[in-house]
Amino acid sequence: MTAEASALSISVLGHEGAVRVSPSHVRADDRADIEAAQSGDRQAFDRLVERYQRDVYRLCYRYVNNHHDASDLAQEVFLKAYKAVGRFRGESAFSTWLYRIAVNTCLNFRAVRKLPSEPLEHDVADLSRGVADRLEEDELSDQIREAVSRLPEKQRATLILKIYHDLTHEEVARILGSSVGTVKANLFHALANLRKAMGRDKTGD
Amino acid sequence: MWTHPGDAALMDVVEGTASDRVRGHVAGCAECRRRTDDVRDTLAWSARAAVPEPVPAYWDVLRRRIAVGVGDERPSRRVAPLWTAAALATAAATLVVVLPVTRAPRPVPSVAPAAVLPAWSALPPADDDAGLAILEHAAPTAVAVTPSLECADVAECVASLSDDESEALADALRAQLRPGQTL
Repeated sequence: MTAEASALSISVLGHEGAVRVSPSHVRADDRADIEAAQSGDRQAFDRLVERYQRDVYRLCYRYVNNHHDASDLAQEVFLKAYKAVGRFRGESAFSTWLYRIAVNTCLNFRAVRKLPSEPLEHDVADLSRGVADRLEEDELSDQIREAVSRLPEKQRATLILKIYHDLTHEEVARILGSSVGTVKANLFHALANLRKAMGRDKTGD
Repeated sequence: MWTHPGDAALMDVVEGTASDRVRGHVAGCAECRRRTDDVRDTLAWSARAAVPEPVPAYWDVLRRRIAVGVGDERPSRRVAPLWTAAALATAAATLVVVLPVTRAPRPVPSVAPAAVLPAWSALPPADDDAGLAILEHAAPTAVAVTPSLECADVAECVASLSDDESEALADALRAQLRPGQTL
C-alpha cells in the first residue's frame, strides 16, 4: 500500500466525526431494515443490498475500471457490511457508512494489486476536436474513467464521491475523515489534474 | 497585499457559493479566473463519463451472491443505536421532571411469592427410618414429659420440643433403659 493510500485508509477507519450527522439522517426505511439485520434478519439485509448495490458497484467500478473486479469488490463490501452491521449506531446515513467501507475495500484492493495512482500524461488522446462533441464516444468515456482511476488517492476518492455519487461536501468529509475545506481543495486539485491528464491543460502548470 | 484565494475558496467560485470578496478577486484576477474556468469546464465533461450499466439481470445475480456469502456469516454483536439511546435518555429525563411534580402515593410493594423449592429432607423416608420405631416406643414417655403438646404424631411431637423438654425426654428414656443399653 502506498503511503498516501495507507494514510487515507487509516483516516477513514479511525475518523470519529469532524462533521456530526444526527441520527435523523438515517432514512426511516433503512432504520427498520438495519435493526432487523442487526438481529440477524437476512431478508432485511437483502433489502438493504437491493437498495444500495448499484451505488456501491458504481463506486467500485470507478476505482478499478472493469466490471469483473467491481463486482467482486461490491460483493466484498456487502459481506463486510453484514458482519459489521451490529456496530452501526446511526451516527451517519447508512449510505455514508457503506461508502466508507467501500472506499477502504477499494483502497486495499488497489494496494494489493499495486495499481498505479499517478496520472499518465502520455495516455492522452487526440482531443483536437471539442470534448463535448466526443463525449458520446465510449472511447472517451473510457479514457476519462481511466484518468480518474489514476488520480492520487485522496483526489480520486473525493472526485468519485462528489461528482459521480452526488454527495455533499459534508458527506464526503465524513467518509474520508477530512474537513470540508480539504474536500473542496482536493476536488479542485482533482479536476485540475484530470484536465491535465486529458491533455486539456494549455498552461502546463 | 495581493493574495490569491485558496483552492477551497476557488471551488466555491466554481460551485457558485463563494463570498463577495472572493468573487470580486476572481473577477479582477486573470490567473484565478483561468483556473476556475478550467475546473468548471472539466467538471462539466467529466461528470458525463458514466459507468457502463450492467445488464438488468446482473443485479439479481449480485444479490444472490451476497445472500450466499451472508449465509455463512453472522452479524457482529448489536450495540444500541443512537436513536434508541436518545429515546431512552428522553424517557429518563421525562421521569426526572415528572415524578417530583406528580408525587403520586408510593404503591405498597407487592410481596413476591415464595420460591417453590424442590422437595428435600434431611431425614430418610419414613419407611427406611429405623429411629421412628424407637420414638414410637418412647411416645408415652414424651407425652408424659410434655403434657402441653398436642402432637399429631411422634415425629412432629419430638421435633417441637424445646431444649429443656428434649433434655427431660432424654432423661426419661435413659431411666427406662436396661443396664448396658444406650440411646
